[in-house]
Amino acid sequence: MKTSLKSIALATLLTVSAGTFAQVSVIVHPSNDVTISKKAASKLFLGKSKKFPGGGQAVPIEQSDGSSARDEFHANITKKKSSQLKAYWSRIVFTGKGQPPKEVSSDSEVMELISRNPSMIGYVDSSSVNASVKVVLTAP
Amino acid sequence: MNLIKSIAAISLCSLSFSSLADPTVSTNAFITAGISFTDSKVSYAGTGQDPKASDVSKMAVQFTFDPDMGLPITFTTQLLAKGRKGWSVEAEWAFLAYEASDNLTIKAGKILAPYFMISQSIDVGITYPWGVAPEEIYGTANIPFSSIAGMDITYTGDIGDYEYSMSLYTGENTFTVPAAGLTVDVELVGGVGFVFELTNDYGMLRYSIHDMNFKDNIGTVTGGGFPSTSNGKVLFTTYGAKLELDNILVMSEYANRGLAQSVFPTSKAWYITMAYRINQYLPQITYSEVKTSGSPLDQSQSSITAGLEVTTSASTRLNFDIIRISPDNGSAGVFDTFPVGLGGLPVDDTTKISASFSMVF
Repeated sequence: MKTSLKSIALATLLTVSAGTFAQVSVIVHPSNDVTISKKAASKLFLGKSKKFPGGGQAVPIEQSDGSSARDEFHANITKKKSSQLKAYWSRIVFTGKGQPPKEVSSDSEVMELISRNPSMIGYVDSSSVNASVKVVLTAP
Repeated sequence: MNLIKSIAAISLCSLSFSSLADPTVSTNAFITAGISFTDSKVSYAGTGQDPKASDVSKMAVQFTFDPDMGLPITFTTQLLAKGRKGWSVEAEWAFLAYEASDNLTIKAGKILAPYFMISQSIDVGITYPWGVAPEEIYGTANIPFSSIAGMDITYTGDIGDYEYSMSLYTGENTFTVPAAGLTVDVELVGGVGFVFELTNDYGMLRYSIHDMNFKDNIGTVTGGGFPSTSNGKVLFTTYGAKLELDNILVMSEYANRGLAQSVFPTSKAWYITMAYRINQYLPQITYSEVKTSGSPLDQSQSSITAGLEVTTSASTRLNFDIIRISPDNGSAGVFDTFPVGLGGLPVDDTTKISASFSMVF
C-alpha cells in the first residue's frame, strides 16, 4: 500500500514537473542561418523589431491563447503572462503602432507554415520538433 | 439616443470593414461598460447620486489600413464614443504612419497627445488597474483633450537590457473644457513637446515636457469677473514610473502644469498605485492629489481608492473601485461647481463607487 501511494505521488510529481517545465524551441526555416538571442526573439514577438538580427524580414507566428507552449515561451522570453501580453498588445494596437503576430492553434500548424516560408519564426514544444524546421533557441 | 446612434455607427463600420477580404485591413475594438455614483449632492466629474453608466462607459473601433504599396506606410483611424462626451462618435485619431526603419517612425494627422504615461491607452480599460483613472491627474480638469492635429517623430533604440524611445511632436487643437459645470472654448496653438521613455522587462521610467499657447473665452461663458477672452501659455511636465515585478505592480506619475497669462490655475498633481496580484485578482490602493494655485478657480483635492481588478480572461477585466474624495477647504476640487468664494456650492468629503467590465477584441 505504501509503495503504491509513493508511486502515485512520484508519478503525480513528475507529471506536474513536466507540465511546468516543458521546454519550447524557437524555430525557423532550415535555410535560415540566423542566430538569435532571447532578447532578439522577445523583440520580434513583441513587435519591437520586424527583422532578424542579420537583416532579413521576420514574420513571427504565435500560438493561440491558452496553449502551454505559448505560456512557456512568454514566461521565458518576453517575461509576460497571458493577461499582461494582452494588455501590452492593446496599448500597441489602439495607438496604431502595430498588430500582434498571426496566431495558429497547434505545433504542427506552426511547423507547417515555417517549413514553407523562410521569413517566418515561431515556437513549439521541443518534443514536437521535426526535420522540416530548424531550432535556433530553446527555453528555459 | 446618442448612445444608440453611436452603437449603430460603430457596428455599421465594423460590419463594413469586417466584410472586406483585403488582408491589409485590420479591425480592432474595445468596450468598457459600467456604472458609478457618489454620495454627494454636487456632481463630481459628471457623476452624481443616481447611478449612471456615462461616467465609465465607452466603446471604440479602430481600422488600420496597409495599402501594400511597397512602402512601410499605414493609415489608422479610431472611432471612439464615450459616455462622458454624450456618446457622440469622434475620430480619436486618424493618421498616416511612415516606418522609415525599425528605429524611426513618423506620424502625421490627428495623433495622440502624449502627455502622460497612460495617454496612449487611457480609454482601454484592460491596460490599467483602475475602473476610472485618477481624476486629479488624468481627468479633464488637468488636460482636457487626448489628441492633436500635427506630426510626431519617434526614435527607439537599445542601451544594454533597456530600450529607450524619444519622441518629438508639434500640433494644435480646438476643444471645450468642462470648467466648474460650464463649457469653455479653448484653442491650442503652437504646441511642441518631447517625450523620453526607458523600459525593460519589468518597468518603465518616463519624462515629458510640453510647451503650448492657447486662447480661451472663459469670460464670455462665465460673465463678470474674468476677461472675455484670454491668451495663455502652458509649460507642462510629467515624470512617470511603472514597476511590474512578479506579482507586484507599482505605478506613479507627477504632473506640473505651469500657466502664465491665464485665469486657470497652475497645478501640481501626482498619484501612486500599489497592487499585488493573487491569481486572477489584483487588489490595489491608490493615493492621488492635485494642488492648484495662482487663480481663484481652486481645484485642490486628494483621494484614496481601494480597488479590485478581476482578470476574467486575457481579453476581459472586471473592476470595482471605492474612492474617498477630500476637497481642500474652500476648494471646489474637480467637482462640477465653482469654489465657494466665487459663488459655487460647498463640497464635502465624498465617496464614489464604480463597477465596470472591459473587453478588447
